Amino acid sequence: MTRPLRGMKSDWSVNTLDGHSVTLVTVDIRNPSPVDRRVRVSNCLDGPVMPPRRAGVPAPGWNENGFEGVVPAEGRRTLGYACPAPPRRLPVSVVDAGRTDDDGADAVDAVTDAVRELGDPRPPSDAVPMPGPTVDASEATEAESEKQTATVPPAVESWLTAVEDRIERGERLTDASVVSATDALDSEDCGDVSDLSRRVAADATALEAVAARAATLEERAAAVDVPVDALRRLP
Amino acid sequence: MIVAVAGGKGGIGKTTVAYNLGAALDAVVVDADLGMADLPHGRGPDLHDVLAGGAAATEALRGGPVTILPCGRSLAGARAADVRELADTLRRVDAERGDVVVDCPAGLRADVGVPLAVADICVLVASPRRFALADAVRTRELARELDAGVAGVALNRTTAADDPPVDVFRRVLGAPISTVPADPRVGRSVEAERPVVTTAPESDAADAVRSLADGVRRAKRSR
Repeated sequence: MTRPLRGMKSDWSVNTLDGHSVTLVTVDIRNPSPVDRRVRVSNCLDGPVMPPRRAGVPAPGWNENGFEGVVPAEGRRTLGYACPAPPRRLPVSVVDAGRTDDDGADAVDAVTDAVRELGDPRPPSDAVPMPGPTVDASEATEAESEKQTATVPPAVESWLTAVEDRIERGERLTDASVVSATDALDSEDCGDVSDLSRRVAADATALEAVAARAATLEERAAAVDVPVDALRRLP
Repeated sequence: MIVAVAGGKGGIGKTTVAYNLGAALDAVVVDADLGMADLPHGRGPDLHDVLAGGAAATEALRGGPVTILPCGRSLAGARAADVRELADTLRRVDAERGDVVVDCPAGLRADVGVPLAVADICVLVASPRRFALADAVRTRELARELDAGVAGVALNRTTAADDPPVDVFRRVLGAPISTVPADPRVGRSVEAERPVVTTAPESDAADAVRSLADGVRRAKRSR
């Protein structure tokens, strides 16, 4: 379909992927005028724009609403993006934003550019051990417990680690043989030891209070059921 | 001011130079080696947590003879970290705590590019061998493209037998060269958290670190 557009012309087409609720939108914009013109392409589908990316970073000109860039004089520009929403009659709007100024309106962000050009430094996901459905029971428990630790907020995690450390030190002195207790004491500052049992007792009280509070909050969190769809329909 | 300490090759002592330079400049040293962290790590949140949005940059700072922003050492942490956030993190630490020295990872990927893009200047680290020049030039080119001038070059771990090619490096790289001798006190300084400028201020190594720091200050003034 062709739409007249003050000097510029654009065609769009949509494709849906079988079995996925994703629409692929292609826009072809032609600029017959003898000057470069700026164009703004906005997504009209009911979902976020999934722009073309390099190294995980959207290609230049793309943002969450669509694309903004320049169509060269007497040239054309073909753009495409995906959107997780059903297609509709007019998937995009193309606005001619006038002549380009020569003041470098395409400001470059050096950081984004560096990532796009130099490549994502993250280790590939295959290299990261992840809990999967095929792992056996013992691995699953281990992976599961790792995952749970990972979701504990850092401040809580660091407190728990400190508590665990004190408890472990206490355990090494609990019911220890003379030899192992001596070893353990060797690695402790003796001044600390008298203080240790008092702190572990305080930890026990604190852990109990946290457990009770966490259980209550968990119950309340589970009972929360925000009627998202209904609220969205409100004006 | 943000100073990136970079050099394409691994194992040439970038971390050691960054840590000791941080001590000489009284700066915060950020371990930006997201995949293979080197600086001492304590308890509590680290750079992985900050880049994954789980902690504020200032929460992850760790005091000591040199204030450090340590980095985690897990693959999962490295995977979850968004390198683009590193730019804001460095700027925030710079704004809140004064100067920042960034220990960049090896290679020339985005985890080096992002610190260089936000850095005001950089310091290159290289082995005192002629063949190391190619790598130093490559890193300098990237730094130049990202607008981080070279304030100095550290030829690290030089020995008397080396006869380090100082003139060649100076001519090609166009920056002051500091030769950091292979002093075991430098090698131990990071792990022991004992920077040479304070524990061995009379040593040649401390002189070299101070001359790098002077180069950085000069570059800062001329900006």
